[in-house]
Amino acid sequence: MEKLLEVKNLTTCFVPEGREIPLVDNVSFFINKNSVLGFVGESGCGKTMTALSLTNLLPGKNCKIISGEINFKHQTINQIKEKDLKQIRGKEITYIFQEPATCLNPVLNIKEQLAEVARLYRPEIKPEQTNQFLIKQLEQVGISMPAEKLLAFPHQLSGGEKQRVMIAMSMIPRPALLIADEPTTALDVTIQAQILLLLDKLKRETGVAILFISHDLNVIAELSDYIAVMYAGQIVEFAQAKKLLANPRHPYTQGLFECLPKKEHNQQNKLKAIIGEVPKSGNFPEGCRFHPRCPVKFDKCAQAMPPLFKLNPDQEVRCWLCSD
Amino acid sequence: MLRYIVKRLIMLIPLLIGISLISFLVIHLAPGKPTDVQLQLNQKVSLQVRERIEKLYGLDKPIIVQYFSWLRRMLCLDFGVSFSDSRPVSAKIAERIPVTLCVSVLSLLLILGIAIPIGVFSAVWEGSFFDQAMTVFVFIGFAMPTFWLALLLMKYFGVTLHWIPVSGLKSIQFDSLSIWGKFLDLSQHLILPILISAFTGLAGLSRYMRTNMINVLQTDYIRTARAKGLSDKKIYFRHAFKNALLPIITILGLSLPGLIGGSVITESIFAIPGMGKLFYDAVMARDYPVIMGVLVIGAMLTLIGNLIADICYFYADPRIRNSD
Amino acid sequence: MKKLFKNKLASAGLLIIFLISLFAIFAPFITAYQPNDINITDSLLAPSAAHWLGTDLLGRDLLCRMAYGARISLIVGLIAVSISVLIGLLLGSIAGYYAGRIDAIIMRFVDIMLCFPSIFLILALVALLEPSILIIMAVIGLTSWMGIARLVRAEILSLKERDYVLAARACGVSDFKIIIRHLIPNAIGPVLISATLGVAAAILVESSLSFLGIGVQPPTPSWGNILMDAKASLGLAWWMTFYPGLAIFITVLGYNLLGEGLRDMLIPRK
Repeated sequence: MEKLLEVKNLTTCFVPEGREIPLVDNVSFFINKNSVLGFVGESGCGKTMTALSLTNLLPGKNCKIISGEINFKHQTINQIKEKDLKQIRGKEITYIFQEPATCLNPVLNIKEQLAEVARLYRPEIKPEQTNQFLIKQLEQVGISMPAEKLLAFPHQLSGGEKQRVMIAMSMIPRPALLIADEPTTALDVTIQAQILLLLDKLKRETGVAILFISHDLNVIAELSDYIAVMYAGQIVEFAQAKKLLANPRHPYTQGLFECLPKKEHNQQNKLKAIIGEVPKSGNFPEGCRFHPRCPVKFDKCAQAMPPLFKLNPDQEVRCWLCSD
Repeated sequence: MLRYIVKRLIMLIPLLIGISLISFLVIHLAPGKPTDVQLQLNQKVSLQVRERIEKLYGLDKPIIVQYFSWLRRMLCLDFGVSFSDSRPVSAKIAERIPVTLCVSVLSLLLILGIAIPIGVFSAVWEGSFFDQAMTVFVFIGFAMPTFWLALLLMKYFGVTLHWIPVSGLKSIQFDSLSIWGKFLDLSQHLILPILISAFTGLAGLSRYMRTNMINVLQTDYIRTARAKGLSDKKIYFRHAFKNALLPIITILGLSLPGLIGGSVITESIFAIPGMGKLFYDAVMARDYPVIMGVLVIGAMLTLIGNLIADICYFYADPRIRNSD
Repeated sequence: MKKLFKNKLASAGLLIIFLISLFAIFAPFITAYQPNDINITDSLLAPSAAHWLGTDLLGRDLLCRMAYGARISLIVGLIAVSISVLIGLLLGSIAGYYAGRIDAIIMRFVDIMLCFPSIFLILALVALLEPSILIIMAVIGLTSWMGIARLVRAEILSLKERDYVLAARACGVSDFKIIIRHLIPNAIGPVLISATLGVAAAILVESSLSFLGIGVQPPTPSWGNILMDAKASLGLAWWMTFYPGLAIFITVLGYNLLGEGLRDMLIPRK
């Protein structure tokens, strides 16, 4: 498999007034062409910040990439000029976000918001064909009555429709990588399933690779080829999906599995929860960051941070239990 | 559309009644009867005349009856005759309104033309030298007593440099001038008053625009616009500007009373025959009918301004436009 | 309090207000003159060692008159704002706490008051009631409470659903006590900011009124009526125009700085 994106030791910090608070801490992963990498973890663990770091979409001047490399198609894109990065962001790498309701501009209609992408990245489409082209795009993401919806304003669409518009918008440039940041979290469960099917279909039809971010392991398991589990700004387990699902090694990953409602209903298999909360950035505990919540911790966990141990070519785990 | 306007008009009715009630109370708060002043001023007025005047104003009837008869006359814009020259108040106001409205509208345009770019660029370049300089300007603008600024500019440009006339609306030879000459003469007389009445509003509006723009720049849809790879120009002026501008429309309606009220000061300093000067003279002469008339008309102008702002908002914001 | 001095805007504002207050308090000791010492031979003297800021048409010392004028400006500003805060707190908390019809009536009243260009209303009232310092303070207070009322109402609307208020209500604490003990203290931050900015506005209004001849009446000196005299001798005595206006400007600036500083401190931004 050929790697499309490879991130090495990425560290992104919040830097107010000279201090450095790590949001993303020494994160490494890769995405193969036409595959799906799932990012999973509780909210506040740095998934979104990692995704925004990739094309330097970080909010405000106080968030900065401190170190690391982001290699995309043989280019280190965190070291190129903003002007050149603009050739990649929005064209090669596109995004959809969590809240479709606030992600579309309320004062521009759908057509205006889609057309500016088409104009920018699909110059072969002639102005008089734009309308037809956009209607077809809306059709492809499963919007009914696309001709009417095209002229609507965001507030006139349902939540699911807005997210479909976002997806259409992100697919118009024919990107190599689509970053989907919790795209189904704000939607009803039934709509959620439809959106997942749609993303899967787009992946198969267009060959786009997807970085899929969710706090819901179920959703991630359904779609992903590889899975990265994040905790407190770090990747704690990175593995091929099949291996991770069959044999989760990090206590946090195991904990996430135990939080899922099981299909077989027996008394022994009660729903469990991971006790405590994700520590806040800048307030991480010494040693392994998970150890205060870990059910199997021992002395060493509080003293030293474990490195990522490579168990086999397709599974890395940040836990002292896997050290041998 | 029509429904929206009708709804707004109906909402104005209680406001109109309140305005009439307060104006009426203001006059009746004064010790003594309104006729006293006139009678004091003119000792020769006989008892007979006094009775006639009292009857004319209905002062011999109970106060409730007085209010309703006053309200009925007010609805026909009949405010009685001026104590000072016995001309109908509505006629006196009508001949003064154009000047005041002209100065107010022109200074409003000036405010918009300067404050909006200042606000937008302060937000786009937040924290820059430009932004800081504008912050200083805003503090100066807020603290500057307009009448003092008027005196200083009058002293410098009028008395010291003799560039512009310091008072009145027209020169003595106005009637003999060509059309172009008349225009020049008028603008020479009006330039300082317009500048002065624009000055305070300028500071407030540019600050407000800056805050709006900064808030808009932090929204999700601006992140979407950035993720699309749009140029900065498009992000700021197509996506952010429109949204930041919407609240300004309401503010314009609300700033009208300040502008009209400010006319009292500028017009009496520069001796411009407008509504503010009329009011000032009436107050100095205790000319009750004129005071009442201007009070009511001033409040009504505000109402009309708010109505216009509402209608503009209706057209500018698709969320309201399409809600019916 | 420590935080207050750390904030640059607030401490600059406080310093200005402190200096102006000293200027007002020690008015009799600042010059050897009395504010109403008329001395025609000294008419319109330029600033000099004898008269630091010069004299007016009647030969009165400008610095002395300005110091006494500072008393008027500060007192009018503070008392007018106290009145408007009282009215605003009262009407705003009643509207916010009881909601419903009372709220609708009070808020319509606020809307109506906001329709009048306030300077029109103030001028009419002051003129009809005969100008005196008391009347001026009362009238400025009576026409400037609307913003505070709206603010208090909004705060109380959001505060009253909080658990501790519901708990107090469940325990049978009287409405009055709930408002005074639990609601108003929590809404005080924004009110303090708007009151501080209100002092600046009130000082501006008072000086405009006095400048128009409808405010503080001569011979009592106020910054505004000194400027009114200055207008008559605009070409002759620049100091008469320059210094009193500067005093107004600096004082208003001081309160605005303090207000903005308080805003930075009390309303945290993300």
